[in-house]
Amino acid sequence: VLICHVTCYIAEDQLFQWTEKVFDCLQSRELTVTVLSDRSVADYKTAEYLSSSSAPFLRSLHSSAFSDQPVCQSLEQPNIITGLPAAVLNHCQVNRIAAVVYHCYNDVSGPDSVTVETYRPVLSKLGRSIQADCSPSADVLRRFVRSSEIQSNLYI
Amino acid sequence: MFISSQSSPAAFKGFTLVMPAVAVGNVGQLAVDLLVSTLNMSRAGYFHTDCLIPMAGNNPYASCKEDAEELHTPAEVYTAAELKLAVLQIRAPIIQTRSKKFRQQLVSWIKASGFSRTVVLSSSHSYQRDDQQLQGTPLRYLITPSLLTASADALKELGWREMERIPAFPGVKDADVEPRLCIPGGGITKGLYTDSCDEDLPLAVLLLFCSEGDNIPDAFALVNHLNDWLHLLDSQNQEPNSKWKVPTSWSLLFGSGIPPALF
Repeated sequence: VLICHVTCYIAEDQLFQWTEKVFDCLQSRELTVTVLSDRSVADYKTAEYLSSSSAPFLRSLHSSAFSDQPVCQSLEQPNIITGLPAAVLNHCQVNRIAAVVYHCYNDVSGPDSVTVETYRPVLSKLGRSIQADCSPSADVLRRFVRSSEIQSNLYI
Repeated sequence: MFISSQSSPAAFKGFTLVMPAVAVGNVGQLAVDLLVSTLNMSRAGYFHTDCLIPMAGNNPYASCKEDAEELHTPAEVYTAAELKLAVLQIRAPIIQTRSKKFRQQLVSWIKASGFSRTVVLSSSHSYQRDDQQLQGTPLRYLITPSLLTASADALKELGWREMERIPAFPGVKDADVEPRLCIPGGGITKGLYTDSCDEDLPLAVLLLFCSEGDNIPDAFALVNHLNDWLHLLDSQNQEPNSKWKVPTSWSLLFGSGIPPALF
């Protein structure tokens, strides 16, 4: 199992090349790719108005080669995904690699326990292949939370 | 470059290719959506390129639950073999610095595939029309010399208006400069047209003067205009717009449902 943790910003004109470079290092035979991503719920389009209690929620998109059952509902029309998850999915679709993107629509800008809880079904499924450390060190968590605090000082 | 999604390689020899230019109002792209949706075209493959901004989504032409969860990419080719028609749909903006590269990729693919003719559906800013363009129909065409020889009679019969050349320096009478082609807001239209003239490709451009906004009526106008020439639909005695099938992806074009607490 390979885990690729993307912490930096990738410009939109680099996404294609980034994806190609990463996948060049991988063997595509019997490869399954799972992408975890998130977006603001403001980008989610739906006919019925979404009250604030519905976020965060998960939606999935998968390539044609993905034969397993996604853990959540598929992304409805007319919603689309962009950025790195889309670039990865495009690569996998064209090269017939099984891939699934789990996209969390979130109403807060940083990570918190409620948002991460949304990914639980995905992690349970992945838990068959990955043994996670149930009590990660406080340093790891602190670094994780801090990086999202310095976003904006517009509102103190 | 083109990658087939079927088990056998795609055969486009002798087909007509219709493609949009990413231009003002996305009219060409909307018109192509109508074509794919109405003619029930099937996907032949992907135009996999680094020149477009990546995006992904489920099947925009889904008619039932079974085909709804099919992934679609920023540029795909659809075919209707019985009509000898192929359509390239482009769903994402072209990365600005790669515009020329994208045109080169398109031209070489068109040449290699052996399309008998290519039609580019495009649009141009209506606010940049000059005095003569303000009058009459907002639809224009352009045609390369190699397609003109084959289609001159059809165009004459249709009575279409060719895109005018604009003086390089409007209002300056002394300027001794040739009028030139100008398609503001047309994206790669002009570049693709001039490249096709240079490469001797049979290509036509159908464009519409429009503004950004609700461009659905513009899409219908453009696709009806195309149909007048290519006769893609059976011409029965019907309302011109009712014969085109609007795809499911056209819902919520102006945002989500309104919160009831607003009123």
